Amino acid sequence: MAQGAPEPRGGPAIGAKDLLARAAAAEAHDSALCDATARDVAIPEALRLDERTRTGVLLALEAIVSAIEASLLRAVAPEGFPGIGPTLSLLHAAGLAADRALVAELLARVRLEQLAAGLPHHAPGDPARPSLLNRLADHSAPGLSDAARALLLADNRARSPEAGRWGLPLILHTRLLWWVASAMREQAGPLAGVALDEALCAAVHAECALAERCADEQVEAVALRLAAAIDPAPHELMRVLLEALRDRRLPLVVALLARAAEIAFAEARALLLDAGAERLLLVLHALELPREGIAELCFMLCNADPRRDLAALADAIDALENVDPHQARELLVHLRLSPEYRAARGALHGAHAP
Amino acid sequence: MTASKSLDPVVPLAVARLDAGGRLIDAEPRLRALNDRAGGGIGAPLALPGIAAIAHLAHRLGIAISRSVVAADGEEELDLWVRAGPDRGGVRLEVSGWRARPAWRPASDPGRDGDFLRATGDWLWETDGALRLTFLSPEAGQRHGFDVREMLGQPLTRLFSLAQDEHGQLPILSAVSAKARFDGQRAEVRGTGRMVRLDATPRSDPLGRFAGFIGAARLLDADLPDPPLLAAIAPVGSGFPRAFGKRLERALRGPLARIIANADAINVQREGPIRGDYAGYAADIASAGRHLLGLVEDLVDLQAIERDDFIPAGETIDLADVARRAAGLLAVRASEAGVRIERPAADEVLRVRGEFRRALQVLVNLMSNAVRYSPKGAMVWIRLESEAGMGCVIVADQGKGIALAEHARIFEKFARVDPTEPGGSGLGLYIARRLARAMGGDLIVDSAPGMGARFVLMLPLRDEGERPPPPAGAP
Repeated sequence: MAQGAPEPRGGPAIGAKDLLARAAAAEAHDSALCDATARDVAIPEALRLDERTRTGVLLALEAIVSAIEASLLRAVAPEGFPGIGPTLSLLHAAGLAADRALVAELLARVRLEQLAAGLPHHAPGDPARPSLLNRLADHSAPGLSDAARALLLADNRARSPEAGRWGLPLILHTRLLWWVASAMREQAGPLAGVALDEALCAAVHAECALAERCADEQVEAVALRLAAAIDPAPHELMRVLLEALRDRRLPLVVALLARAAEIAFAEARALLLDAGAERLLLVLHALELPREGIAELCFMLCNADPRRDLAALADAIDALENVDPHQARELLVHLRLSPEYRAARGALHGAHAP
Repeated sequence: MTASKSLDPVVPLAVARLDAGGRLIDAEPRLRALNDRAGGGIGAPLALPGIAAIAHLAHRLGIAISRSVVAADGEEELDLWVRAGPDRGGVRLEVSGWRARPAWRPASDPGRDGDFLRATGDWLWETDGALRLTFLSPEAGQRHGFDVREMLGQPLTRLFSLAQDEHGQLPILSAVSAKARFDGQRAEVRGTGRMVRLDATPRSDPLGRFAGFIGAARLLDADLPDPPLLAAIAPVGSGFPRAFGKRLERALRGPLARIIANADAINVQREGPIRGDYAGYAADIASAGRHLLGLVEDLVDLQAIERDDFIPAGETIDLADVARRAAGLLAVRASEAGVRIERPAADEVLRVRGEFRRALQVLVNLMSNAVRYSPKGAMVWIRLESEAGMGCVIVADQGKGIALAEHARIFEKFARVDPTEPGGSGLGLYIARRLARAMGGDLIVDSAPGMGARFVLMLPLRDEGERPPPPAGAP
């Protein structure tokens, strides 16, 4: 039944005023529906997310928002506050949930999880040989073993359902905290006074401070620390990358790549997630990694991700031989530029930042 | 060419070489024979398309790659593991595996096993192939007195001190060597004095090699201060209170039934036309719902029969009558599948001791398996026999049969018929055998590939001196 249409069951017949109000609402609904449809049909099929990924992004957002709600609510009104409930629909209505940076981050995380889930388990040639991280955790160099243990622990924690928001970049986490707080305030309505405003602000500040303190313990930061501690020589890099990939330790793979290419973690992650893999190939080529290693790495990614085309990959790897590493390094230079600068440049040309 | 040695001595390895154009230069006898039967030969392109594709890819990428391949060999299908690598301008192939694709396959969905573990364990753990911990539920350490940070990366045995079972074995060790799941490994969380029960399911790599465990730990002595009360709620051997299974069933049955009914309605487009793929999704939902419902029923049974005090009623029952009823219950499903069940004649009688409801459950399970794995137009025979003090019902089908190696496995928990089939939790035969044994009988299988499967349910014959059963409806 269309939204806004009269519903005769379970209540008295409506009056003229209701009828007019509902007619107006129906018109607004129609118009909103047309807007949404126009946006929807404008999405090229190649860019349309598959259902699994779309749901993954929505669920990740939902989990993060409800975790934030729960902690803010605990801080401001331990016994609950009349009117305050789930805020996500309010955020959606205000268009806040469609924040580009937030959605990009969530999409990347969901894709990375999917890629990790798609990677097959790998039994070591020698059954007694522990996996890479477990070997590093036992390493005699304390810097290495500490970092490896920290990554094991961070990975462990990241799997709990409440962990999602702590892994967000601070700026996004903070933004979401303010949004949820303001939505909660909105729900409380005129009954609540300035005391609630103050309590919410204090709670958000406390959460931000906590997030800042925890930032160093998150998977991304810890993986980068471990990559720095491993500090593989150029001729070892490929071997370590491949072993981390076989052990399905994707954050470590990303961190190793980011460190070797001297680019940000998020940039390296985007390279790994790109189904076409052209940028990844060029970056690996610019790092002068051996062709066999590049082929093996990309082959493993292909096996983990049904969107990837193995034949096209083989063509691209063949083409790579004719690319001058100097040209490939230009891409690296571009990736090393500040992302804000690149976004601004893109905006000037009417395109979104890469 | 000399025969190469396979990594695993029981898996034969056959080597072949291809030139740059993908033509066969030479091949060891086994692979050559397979290629010949597929219409290929020396000097011609490889006639096995799956293997040829991998060889081509390895040649193009210039690296060694491995993949599993299913190759047709006459009427049979072979599971092969192919490793292809560049070699002197061409490609060298190593083909191992050579296992006929079994009609019955053990469960291979670690996700589902993981869900089971989550449902029954207090906390979870995972290891790599060398049995070193790669995951521990973050909250477990605080609750049970160890430091998660310290334990990650350490051998499993550093966290748990494993106890031998009644046969002096460590279930976990047999599980590693058999790459199978294990249940009920008792262990102490080192340094805490707390006993846990460990259950785990293996992870394997695509070649089937052991790559680690995903497991659960369940506290056996829960919170120590008040053992008598705890014993009353959760007797040893069961992590759930007595009523949990029933509550689970009550809580889930209604919602699941609604999900199934609604999904069925969407699938048949009762409310109006929808896009075809969505109708298909709805069918998937209904089938997943049925699967869940079956799982709930199995779990309730599992909980009941795994209790130490589970004793089925020892009534006198007519096994022929039970078999006829079971066949009647499956008549519709059989006719949908185009399978005929030949049930015992109406005048046949075979009096045994057992519980009517449980015997019926076992026979329905056996017959529904028989129907499911029978080709169209086939027959399922039900025969009655008595020997050595046992009354037997034999359920025989004309399906693909079960390889000897699978005979023990299919009765294990979560071992199941083709995992791609909808329905079935992998608990059916496990429960059926437990029930048969609890009633003083047994359930055995007797089958070979291509010969169909024969399951025999045996229950003790009623003692001659015993009184006939009271008439129906008597107290």
